[in-house]
Amino acid sequence: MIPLVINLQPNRKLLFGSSAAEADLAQLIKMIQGASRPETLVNFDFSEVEAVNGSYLRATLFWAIRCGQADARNELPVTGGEPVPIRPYPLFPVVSGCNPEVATEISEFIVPRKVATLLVESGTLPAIGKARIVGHIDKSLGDTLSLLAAIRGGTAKDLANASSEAITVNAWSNRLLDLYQLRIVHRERSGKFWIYRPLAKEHDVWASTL
Amino acid sequence: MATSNHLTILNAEAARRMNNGRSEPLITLGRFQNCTLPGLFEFFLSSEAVRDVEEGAGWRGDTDGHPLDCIWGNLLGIWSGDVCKPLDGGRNSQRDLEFFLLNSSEMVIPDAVSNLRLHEFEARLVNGGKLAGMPPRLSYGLASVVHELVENVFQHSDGDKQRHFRGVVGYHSMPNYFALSVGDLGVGTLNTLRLSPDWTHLCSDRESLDAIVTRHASRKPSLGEGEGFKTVIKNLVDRNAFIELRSGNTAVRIKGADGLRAAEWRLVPALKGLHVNVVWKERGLSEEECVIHLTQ
Repeated sequence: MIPLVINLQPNRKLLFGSSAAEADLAQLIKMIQGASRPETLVNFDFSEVEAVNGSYLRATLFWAIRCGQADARNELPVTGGEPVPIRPYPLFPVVSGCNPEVATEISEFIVPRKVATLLVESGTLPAIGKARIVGHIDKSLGDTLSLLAAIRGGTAKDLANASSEAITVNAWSNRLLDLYQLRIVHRERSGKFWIYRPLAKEHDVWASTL
Repeated sequence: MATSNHLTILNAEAARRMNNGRSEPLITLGRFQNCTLPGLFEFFLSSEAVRDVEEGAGWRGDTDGHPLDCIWGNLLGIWSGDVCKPLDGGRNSQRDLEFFLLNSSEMVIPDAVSNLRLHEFEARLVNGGKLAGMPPRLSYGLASVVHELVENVFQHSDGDKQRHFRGVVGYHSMPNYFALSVGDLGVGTLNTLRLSPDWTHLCSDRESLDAIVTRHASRKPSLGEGEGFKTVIKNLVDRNAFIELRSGNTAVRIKGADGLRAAEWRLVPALKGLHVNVVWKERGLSEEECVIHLTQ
């Protein structure tokens, strides 16, 4: 389970524009800055939100996804371009409390950008019960995630043992790394192996490229 | 573009009264008996009075930070039903016609677009759209449009002119009809986009509008497509609605046509800044049925 949860709950019904987003994001950045950076589940709690637009999502949710991916890929900070620089932070962004309008807007934003995120449907964070995957996840990754959830987390070798697919442990390892970079599983080291665990116990795939 | 009609000249005493008795030199203003919201905006944005305000030669913003700090502001406030009180005085009451002025000292980037007053205005705008009968998603799209355009107004304006009149947003809601107008007195789309290294090659107003409409151009370099007008077009053109952008000497109207989008281009008298109209109405409603009845 991810040790740290940051809950961001904007106190407005309408979340529009990059400037408002940057103001909201400033709170998150204050909390995640520092020398010690544990894996952090960032929950964008949209339960009070009626509508959101692309500019807001780009400067908040998408920013957090890209920071998480930069951490997973050991990338250097990107200081140009974005209003708030992309830095490698161990973030795992999820969204909760979405109404259908907001969920559709998130999907329309996320899918073309070849990333994914989880819309939390049940559970008490950081223990996510059921979640909907929105975004870009291919069939092999979807199957891998399902298997990983079924065995409640494990190493690439554990997946190879649990699956009837004739692929190598190395291939399982690559798939798990892809899921990790999508920030829908997290991992912890055990000796020389990585143990991967899904953020949610159950997943529905929605608006993906499956 | 809709045009204002039935104009008469406002007399000096009425103008002075509208300006709360202040004695500064008055600007001759047109008085509207009937007009559509886009027509009203077109008149204001193209009037010498507004140019004077923008250039600082005539009316300037009030130094006390009052949101109704120019004579135009007073007029719009009166027509919003807010005689002698600031626009945010009745912040929770729903209105058929309302304006939001972009000139208060409260409105400083980036807090401007996240401040409570604007958010409440957007919420009333959404509600106005719903009351008009628009699909909720379209109402939200419109509020999103407003926010993006308000951000644009401030991002494209000079920081040292915060107290000057920068622009105005207005909506007009009635059953089966909803109109939204945003006008600013900035530098226009061509000059704005050319600030970005991605768009320095643009050389006409038409090219700049085309870049916005078809390539979602943004003045921010390396940020990819701009979200503002993309959101607008996605949400509006296929739903008995059109969006019209006017900057410099060019106007383009985009509307849905059998599931596709069609753009109509026109040369128009030059205008400062950017003027955007979004109009939604049920089929069969004539323009005469969509006028604002201004009787002040």
